[in-house]
Amino acid sequence: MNFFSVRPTLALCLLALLSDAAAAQESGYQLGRGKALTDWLTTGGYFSTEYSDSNNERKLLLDDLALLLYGEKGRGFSYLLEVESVEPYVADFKHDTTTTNFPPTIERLYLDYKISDLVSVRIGKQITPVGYWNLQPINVLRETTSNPLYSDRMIPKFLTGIDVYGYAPFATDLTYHVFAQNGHDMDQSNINIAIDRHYGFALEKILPGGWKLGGSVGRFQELNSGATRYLQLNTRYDTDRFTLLAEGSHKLQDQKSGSPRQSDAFYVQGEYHLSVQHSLITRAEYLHDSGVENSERIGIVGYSYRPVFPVSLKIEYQWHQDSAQNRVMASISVLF
Amino acid sequence: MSFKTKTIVLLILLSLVPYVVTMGILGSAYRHDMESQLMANMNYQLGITIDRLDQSLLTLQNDMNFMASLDIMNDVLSGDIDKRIVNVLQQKKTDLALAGDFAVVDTKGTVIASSDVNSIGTAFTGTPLLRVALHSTFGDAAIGELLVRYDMDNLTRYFANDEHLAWSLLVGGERFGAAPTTAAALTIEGHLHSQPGMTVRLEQDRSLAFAALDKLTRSFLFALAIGTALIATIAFMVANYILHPILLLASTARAITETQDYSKRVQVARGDEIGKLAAAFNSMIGGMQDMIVRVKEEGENKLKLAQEKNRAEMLQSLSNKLAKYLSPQIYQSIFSGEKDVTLGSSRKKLTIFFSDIVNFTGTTDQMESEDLTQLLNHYLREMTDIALSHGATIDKYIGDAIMIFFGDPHSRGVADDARYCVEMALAMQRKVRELQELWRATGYTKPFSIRIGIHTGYCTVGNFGTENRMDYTIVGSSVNLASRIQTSAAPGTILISEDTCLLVRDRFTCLPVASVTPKGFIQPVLLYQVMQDDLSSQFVNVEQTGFHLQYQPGLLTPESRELLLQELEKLRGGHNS
Amino acid sequence: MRILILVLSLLMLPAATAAEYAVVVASNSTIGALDSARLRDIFLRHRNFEGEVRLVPVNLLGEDSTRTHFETSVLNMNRDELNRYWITGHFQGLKPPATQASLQSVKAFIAHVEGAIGYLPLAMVDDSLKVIHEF
Repeated sequence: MNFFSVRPTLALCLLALLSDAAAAQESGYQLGRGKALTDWLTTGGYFSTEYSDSNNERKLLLDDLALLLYGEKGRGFSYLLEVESVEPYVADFKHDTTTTNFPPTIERLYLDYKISDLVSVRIGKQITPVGYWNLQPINVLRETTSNPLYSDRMIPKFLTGIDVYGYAPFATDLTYHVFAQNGHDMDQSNINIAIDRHYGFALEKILPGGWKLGGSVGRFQELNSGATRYLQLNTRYDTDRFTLLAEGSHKLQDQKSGSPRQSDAFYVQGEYHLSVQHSLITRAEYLHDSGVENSERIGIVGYSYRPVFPVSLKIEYQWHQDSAQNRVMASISVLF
Repeated sequence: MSFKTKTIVLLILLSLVPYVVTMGILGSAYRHDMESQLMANMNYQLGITIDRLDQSLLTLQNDMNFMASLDIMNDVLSGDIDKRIVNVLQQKKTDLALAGDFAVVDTKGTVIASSDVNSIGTAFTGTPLLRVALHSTFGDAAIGELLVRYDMDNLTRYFANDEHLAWSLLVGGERFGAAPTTAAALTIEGHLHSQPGMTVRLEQDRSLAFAALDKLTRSFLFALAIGTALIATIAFMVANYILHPILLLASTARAITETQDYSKRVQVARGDEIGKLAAAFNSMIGGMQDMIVRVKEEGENKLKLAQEKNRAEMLQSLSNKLAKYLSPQIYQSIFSGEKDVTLGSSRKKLTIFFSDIVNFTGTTDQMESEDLTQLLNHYLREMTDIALSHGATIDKYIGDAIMIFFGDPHSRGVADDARYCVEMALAMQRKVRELQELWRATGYTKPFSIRIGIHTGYCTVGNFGTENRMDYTIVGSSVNLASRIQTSAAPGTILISEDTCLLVRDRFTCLPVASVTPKGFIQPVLLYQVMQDDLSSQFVNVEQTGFHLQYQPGLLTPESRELLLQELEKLRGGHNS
Repeated sequence: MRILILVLSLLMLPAATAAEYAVVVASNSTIGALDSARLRDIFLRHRNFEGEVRLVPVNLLGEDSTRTHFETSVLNMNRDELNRYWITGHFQGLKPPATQASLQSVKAFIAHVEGAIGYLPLAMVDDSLKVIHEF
């Protein structure tokens, strides 16, 4: 199988990266930390390959390949640029086809200004500051190869606009975001929901005992559709061995006639860390859309292995309500 | 001075003057070119060197900018206790093989770090060549400067090592690098782009530079002397080569004049103009020789010629007369020698044509003999023209009848012979109708019609008769049948036999009209009428006791038509009363 | 003699459990005492200000015991967790604090840079520095 013929090359790349990382000092290059070229320019990137096998498909993807440039300049100014080739290479064994698609898209491009701890401003294309999953959208930072339905279907992942954020002045460990977008996304190539307006408000509170709790409300205008309002909640619990992650959202989309279309989605994910390198993961997902007859339920068990943190090898099995959709997914990803 | 001497002198002058002038111009141009090339070369060298120095300084500037942007420069704030900056500076000094030192000073001018560790802690002395401000990552204010103390050896080492070229670098009145070899030197200067205060000077010893030029002058004079001698020799040889045959011509011409011997020739074996001149001279002499012979012969020939001409004219007039009595094909055949006029025959499939004038005898009885001759001759002349234009062989005229055949002596194939024959018949009928109009206009009140019969079949063709009196004609039952068909035809029509019809029916409309059983035939022969396209111009011709109605429907005008109807109406009225 | 030793050891016991290290700022700084939660926010670069002062946290390079002790007792994170944190930060364009290679340079840095905040063994603290937290 092609997957295994690709494997030696990948293994060699990994070996090269790992040996480099082992030799690196904090002042020099460290895998997963980027390379500081000057004090105002650090560069890095990531890639991931993904393998998916179900009744309906058997695919090997070079899922993404991205370049990061960021830095700080002067008092409080910083910027970030991320360009990414999404699915630059896909081998479909079921249909015996391969496709390549290298033109990169702008994933993020923003300027950040920290006025104080209470008020910072970020302008440009950025990740919508809602929930946990959304803020760590790349394969290598996740514990499963797949994304939950909640993250793909409910709320726009990207925001091209302004986000004002900081610590709330009247409380401890409470952060806020107020964000707005008016117009199209900066690069509409790889976005989950195409919108031309979005505004919202998000809060996150760190609670004692390893708990975090957050939520948001917002409203966006999907292109060629009615306005959508949403409410979203997220929580996280961390101990040395165990991580619990749960997020859910509810949205209402106005229709031209009749009652609004309702969608609900949530997932609960548990991670058990056998050691720093090895983790077992289980996740339950649910999505209901009033515009679609059947609701979707997915159960996942997975295993994640990180020889070092910025290198992730993962495998998972998914049970779908429609058993034809059951699948195995595996991936290798590296942040560099 | 002889012509030869003149030629030699002219040739020498013609080649020597341009040679000397060319050599002179070339020499001076070369001298000038060499000088400017020398300067261009120096300018080029200077340009390259300046670029190289600029590049070197630019590299230094870039390296310093890069070092200044490093995180480590924040260590200025902690006095570089850990010597991290010193390490970077020393490493860079080694990498660049720098003669001089990098130093980082704080805002007070004290050296915090330097590739020269002895200077650390002291105030920076001297003039730095380049300086880059340092900023901390944590604030906007400058925290110090990165400086470089730069030895000019860094630059002068890029000077090319050449014994004729002396390079030097001038900075603020000071001079670095080699001194010039002599005072009398070519000198050019250029500023560095990145450091306008730095000037590069390039000097070249003039005597060394122009030594090559003196050598060139000597070579030139030598070449001039050799060239002159060579040109003189060649001019002499060329003059001889050109003049020799001309002198030979002159002497030959004189000899012919003296001896009157026209058989003398000049011997010049050359292809050029001189050769052509000699050949022309020879042919002129030859021509004169021939002319003398020819004038003698001419007198004798003139008599013979006159006799021959007489005979030819006689023959010509004889054959012209004969032509009138022979078919043109036969005439041509005989006179072109294709067929000898002998008794003999052959059997061929021919298309035979017969025509005669309807009621000729009745019509002509009332005419004067002169008018009749004229009418008949006119008719036959027109018919003959049509026949000949269709390639027919006119067999004979029998009073008002014409007998024609196709297929001998030239055949275009049986089918085409038949076709041409029918086409000819149609043309004749058309012509007759035209003639009818004409004759009517000239006063013949009863213009005649003709009838035509055609048949295709086997005939015996050849010369029949005796040695003394021969006739070229055809004989056989087919001839008889054709004649019989003609007599069956109605006035103004063309009748053809089935045999002919089969050959032409794809081209002409043929309607079966009758069948006849000619004499000697057992089976009746089916006859077809060939339809004529211009039927509208046909006559209506009805003749009975007491009346003769004749008109041409196609030519009736409304008035004439009205008149005719009135006449007929009158007739009806008279009968009724 | 035994008693003396016992007394001495008793006397030394508090000294042994007492703080050996201090989080310091320049002596002329306006920054006052800070608790470990606030220090954690500062060294993880969640917070960048203290009052009007823009903070410049400085780390000691390498795995010196001073730094290890600071990380476990103040930040309450081990090396793996910190590594994980900064790798995630790399994706978000977040850079870890500046470093100095030796304790001496950390001390010099803090003394000279406005807003600089770092940690040192208590024994190294002198008049040029002000202690804002002990651990």
